[in-house]
Amino acid sequence: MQSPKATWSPRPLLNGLLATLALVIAPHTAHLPLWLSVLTTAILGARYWMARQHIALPRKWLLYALAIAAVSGVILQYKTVFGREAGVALLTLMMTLKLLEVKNERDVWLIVFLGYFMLLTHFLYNQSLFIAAYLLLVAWLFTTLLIAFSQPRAQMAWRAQFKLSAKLLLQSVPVMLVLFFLFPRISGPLWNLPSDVTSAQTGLSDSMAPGMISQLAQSDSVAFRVEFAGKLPPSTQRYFRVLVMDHFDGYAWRARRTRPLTSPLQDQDQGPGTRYTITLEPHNKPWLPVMDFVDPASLPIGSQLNSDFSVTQRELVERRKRYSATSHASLVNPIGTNANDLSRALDLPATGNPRTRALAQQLRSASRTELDFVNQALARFHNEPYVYTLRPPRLGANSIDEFLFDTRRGFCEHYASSFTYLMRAGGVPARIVTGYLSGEYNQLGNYLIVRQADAHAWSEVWLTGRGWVRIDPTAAVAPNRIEQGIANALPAGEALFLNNPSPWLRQLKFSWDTFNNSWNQWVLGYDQERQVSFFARLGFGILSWEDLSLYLLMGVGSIFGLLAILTLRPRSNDRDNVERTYALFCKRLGQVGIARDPAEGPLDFALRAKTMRPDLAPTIEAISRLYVALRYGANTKPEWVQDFSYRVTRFRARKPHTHQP
Amino acid sequence: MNAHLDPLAEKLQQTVQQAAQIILGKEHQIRLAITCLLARGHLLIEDLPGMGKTTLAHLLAQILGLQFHRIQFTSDLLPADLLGVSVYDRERNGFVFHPGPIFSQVILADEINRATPKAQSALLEAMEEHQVTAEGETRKLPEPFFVIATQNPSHQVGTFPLPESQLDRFLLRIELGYPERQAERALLTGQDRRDMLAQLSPLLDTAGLAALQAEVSGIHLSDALVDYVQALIAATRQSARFSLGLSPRGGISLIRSAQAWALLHGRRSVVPEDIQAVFVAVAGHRLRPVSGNESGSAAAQALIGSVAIP
Repeated sequence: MQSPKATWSPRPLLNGLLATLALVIAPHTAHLPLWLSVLTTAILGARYWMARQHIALPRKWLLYALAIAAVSGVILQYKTVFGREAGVALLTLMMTLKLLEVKNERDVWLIVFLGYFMLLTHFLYNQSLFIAAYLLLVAWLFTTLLIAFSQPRAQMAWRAQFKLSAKLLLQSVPVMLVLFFLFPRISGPLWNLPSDVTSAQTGLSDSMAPGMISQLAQSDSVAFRVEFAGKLPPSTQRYFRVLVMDHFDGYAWRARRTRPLTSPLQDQDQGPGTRYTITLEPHNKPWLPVMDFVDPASLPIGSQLNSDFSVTQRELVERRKRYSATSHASLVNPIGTNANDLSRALDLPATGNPRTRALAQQLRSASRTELDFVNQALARFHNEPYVYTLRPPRLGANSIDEFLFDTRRGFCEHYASSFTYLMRAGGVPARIVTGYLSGEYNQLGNYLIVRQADAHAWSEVWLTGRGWVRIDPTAAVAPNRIEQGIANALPAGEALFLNNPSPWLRQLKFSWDTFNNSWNQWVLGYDQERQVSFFARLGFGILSWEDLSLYLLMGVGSIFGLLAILTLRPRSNDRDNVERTYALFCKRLGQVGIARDPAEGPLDFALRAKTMRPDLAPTIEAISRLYVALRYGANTKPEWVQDFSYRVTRFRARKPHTHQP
Repeated sequence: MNAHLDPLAEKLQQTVQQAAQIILGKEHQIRLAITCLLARGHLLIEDLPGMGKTTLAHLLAQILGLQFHRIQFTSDLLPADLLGVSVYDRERNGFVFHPGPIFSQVILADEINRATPKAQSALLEAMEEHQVTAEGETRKLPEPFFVIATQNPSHQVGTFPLPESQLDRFLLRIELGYPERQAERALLTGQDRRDMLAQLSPLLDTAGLAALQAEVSGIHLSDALVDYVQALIAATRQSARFSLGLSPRGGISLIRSAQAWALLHGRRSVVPEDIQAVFVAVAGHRLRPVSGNESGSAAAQALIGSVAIP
């Protein structure tokens, strides 16, 4: 029944191959449909069991049927066989099915090469440092498998194979570097990633309803990182503006379409301002966070400063973006806002929240100026028992009334929303600003990490003669939020991940983030712009992609040329190598007082060394015998050289614990 | 190391062991003597009378199953006494050659430096050519042909010291020296050596010996080893210690002896230790130290210690 070919299965190697395939497929299970993951696992398991029980591989017709079923399954699932999702699914299935017809080394090689290709597909989903390290490890395993399968009689020990493949990978580093630096980058992503890559990102949206920001506060994913050119501004000044909302429908606040700022801004104290660079994580929106108030001249090309002082760019931020800006805390626009904007900032729904309106009237009539009114409102938040919490109760139709007078428990959006409403009801133009506040300073990397959890909402009121003034009602309720960050402002027990009490863990988190940041900046962020500036700084001038391709070919060509010269050179240094290794052996013995006289033959020396160190006699004997055979014998074998160097490098004459007084 | 020795080489080991039981405490010299025989060379033993030279020669012949003849050299020895003479045979009505004692496989030429140069040269010619010419006719000597010549230290009265050119004909020169205390005690109290000799049975035959001799030149010489030999030769020529360095023939002798030594020790290739083991015996009589007080052997021994193995 069983053809001799079917029994071809060097089992330990096959098991290694199955395990490595499982490792390379594993990260994909996060986005593959369940049936596909289960099927793949089943095939891997079946193949293992078949090899174990010496069961013949399935017949051709069964394989064909399986392959057709697999392709049909993929088509049913995705309606196509092209594109990222369907492609990966198909590749995964076919690669595992190929296992069922492995008859010789050639088939194995095919699978291993498919496996190498599979490594690449992970980068279509995830380009983090972690996945890169993981895939490097798997690539190492695959290379070791290639080595192992190319020598069926397993002349090499496993350790030596792992070592050799690590060496091979290391040897490929120069080519990798040349390709990395010189491969022409195109502007925009290299491949057209489907839009769903970044859709899962959380972030601010263009509307704000109660509970939306408190939900964001549960996410510790990074929004952006900021490097300051000078000193880190105090926490109370680190307001990063993203959106301004001035339309209230009774429940949620919405932003309007933005218009570019037309009137010039005035800097009151003419200071140098704060210069900083932001690395923004992709969020699929056109907004660029900036500190208040940004100098339009410092903004990157392609972005614009809007009339509400927010900054947007034309395209959506689909890739990590790095930009610099300068902000002046004292920059004002006393006259720039047009009447339209101001009247909008007073708009309220016709009905609803009667108690708040009454309160506004009462406070307004009791205060002489607008500023007085603002302070009275803030004083109410401060003096009355309001609670800052991530878990506010649900609010009904008259949400402002309910919050201000009944529940009195809320997150920043509740305070900003009710304060703005109060202002408008009292006749003071006011609006909501959303963005991020303070962030966490990473001393290790000297930058600020701003997470989604740092999302914040505050108010701006229009004061005649002063223009828009930032008022943060949350500061009146929970000053800690502004001064020490969100983790310290919340009651104990809320938002657990934010409270990382152990400084040790904090340090670890910072180190990891620093690493990750460098990876993002220097590896993933190496785009066309950086490539051009990198080579310009090296003195190459501005390189076109044709120049880059030429240098690329030259670089790779010279590496291979050098390798060719090195490998094709007559191998006279085997002898020198043996000599050097033997010298090391003599040195190790010399360290324990058994020095070899230059005129002493190796066998005599071995004899002397053995009588002085009987504990090492077998090792000394073996090494000396190999040396004599290699240096003086006829018909030496290359493996002896390896064996010899292996033994000598492991040879230690020093006793692990000497009994010395 | 002994595991893969062929039977012949194993016999060699037994030979050495047996010989060492007769000549006590002189194993190195016994090995050198056998090495010399394997390398198809001739041996010169230089020592005072009564050190066991004759016993050694006899022993070798006995163990190796060779035919043995001893010739005592005296100042009145004539070449014909060695080579043989033609005597008129009346029955055959012609001269019949009566071969001299030299027609033998192992010859002990005792006290070679007592004979006149003429007699010496007759022997030396035979050693070199493995044939003798007497009365116009060339005759082959038996194979193997192995001469062990003994020589009293030349400062003794009534000797004709061998000139350098003649000494060069001997592959090895050894000195037996006084036995060690323990060995001598055994010698003094033990059985008569001659009786023991007579009881020995040969371990090898002519064919076996010839096969072993043929193997010597097949012992591997690596580049590294030749480097070492050349370093040694260069040292003898450059050193201020010697007035005469080692000749190319001396170098060849060194390699040949080392090969035979390696074979005797069951190795298929020569190692530096082999060279060192035979160096004094090969070079001692070929080198002439500048200082009159130093013997060639001592100087050669010192040289080995000063030349690094490359």
